[in-house]
Amino acid sequence: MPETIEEALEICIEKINEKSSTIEDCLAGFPQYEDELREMLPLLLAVKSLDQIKPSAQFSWQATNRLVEKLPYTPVTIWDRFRHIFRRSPYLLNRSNKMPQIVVSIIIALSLLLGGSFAVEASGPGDFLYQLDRGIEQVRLQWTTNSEKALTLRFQNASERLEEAYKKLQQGDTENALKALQEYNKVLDQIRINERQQVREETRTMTQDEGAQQAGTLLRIRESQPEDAQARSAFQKELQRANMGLEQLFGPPDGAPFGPGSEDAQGPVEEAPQGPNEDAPEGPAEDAPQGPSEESPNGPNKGKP
Amino acid sequence: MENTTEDSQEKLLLLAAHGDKHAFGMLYSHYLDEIYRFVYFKISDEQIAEDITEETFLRTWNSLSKIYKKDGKVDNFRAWLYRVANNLVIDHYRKKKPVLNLDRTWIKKQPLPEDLVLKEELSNQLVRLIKRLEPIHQEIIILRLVNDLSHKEVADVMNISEGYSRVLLYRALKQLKDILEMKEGKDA
Repeated sequence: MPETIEEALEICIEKINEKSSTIEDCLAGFPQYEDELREMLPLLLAVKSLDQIKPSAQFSWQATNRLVEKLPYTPVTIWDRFRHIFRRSPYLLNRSNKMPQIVVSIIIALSLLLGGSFAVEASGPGDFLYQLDRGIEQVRLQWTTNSEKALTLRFQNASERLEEAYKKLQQGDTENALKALQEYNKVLDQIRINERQQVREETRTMTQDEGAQQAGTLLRIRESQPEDAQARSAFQKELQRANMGLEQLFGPPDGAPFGPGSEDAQGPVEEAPQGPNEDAPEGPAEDAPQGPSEESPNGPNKGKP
Repeated sequence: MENTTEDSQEKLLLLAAHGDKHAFGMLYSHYLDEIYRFVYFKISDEQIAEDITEETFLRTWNSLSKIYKKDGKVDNFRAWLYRVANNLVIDHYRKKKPVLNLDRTWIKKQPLPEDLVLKEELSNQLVRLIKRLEPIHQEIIILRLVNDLSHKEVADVMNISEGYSRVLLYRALKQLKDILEMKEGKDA
């Protein structure tokens, strides 16, 4: 039983809305408020009839389509925001809409460029992207018309092969480490064959730096040689060839960082700084055409440029 | 919603919140009439009421991300619409400009059947009476009786308690009855 007229009114409204009661039913249900309700309920029904007020037919016609056309794209999630940037036709973009597209395009391009090139650069023999890496190097070389630039690139490629060899050796991948070392020697051969030229001072410095670095890496490789006798032998052979290749280019080192190993068959540097190795297929000969010559500008030693 | 349950309305809101314009269009077509009535009672100009109604939905669309919560629910979308509409009405009165709608003038000149004319006249009289009520009484009558919002929804829109909403409705009807009696007395 309702305690107040407000509650009685509310019950009547609900029942009339549900069409389960008439005004008379309500009045009979609340005799204590009958007089007041008798005046209010007809008024209430009249007011409820105002729900027939509607927008004009002209406005209502295709109102939804009109609104949908007007709705700007206001995404809620970050993904939607991102996804929508490329959804519109580029011809419809105004300046403000172009900006996010440009920014995202740049980010994607940089990510692909940096991430992709990093992945390619970081690959070594036996890796999926290694051949691509080598291919890129070849293309770079072929497109380089400047002989000094080509020389620099070859030195960089040689350093890269050597680092790959060391890295693979550290990973216990002897086979690919040996392959990388062989590749290194091939690059050194190419340098010796191709680079007989006068170079600028900075190129000379750069090649000397690269050579010194390579000598250091060779030393590290020698210290990490595999224990397997057969593999060790193959490594020693390649190392010897590499050391001699460097010597041919730069002359015997002071302090000999890359002479043949003292405890190994190669012997100490002092004993044979430029000694040809019987096993070395391209060992330096005194009359070797590709050997380091006086006219070679790249040598680190004054006596052997 | 006529054929749409609360669940499906939630789904529409979810879709709209994720940028689905057509889902929002469906919500618009459902709430269009009642928001229009709410605005019309406050503005008394049909075309401006229509413009404000449309603007209400455009604003709501732009603010949808604010009312969309992480759990996929929107806190009383209907109440939100009314609040947006109310704010736009206030804005309209702040920068009130006279508007002449030629199209609407043309429409009004179209002849109507006699019974419709009578009905329209009665409606107009009632609207005029309601407009003589205090604003807060006008609002409760529109929301609760004309647009059939629950007292909870009314309380949300008007920022009052449900109990006070009931009291207000009674007072509004009483005041309306008094105005009507006064008018009848004058007419007599």
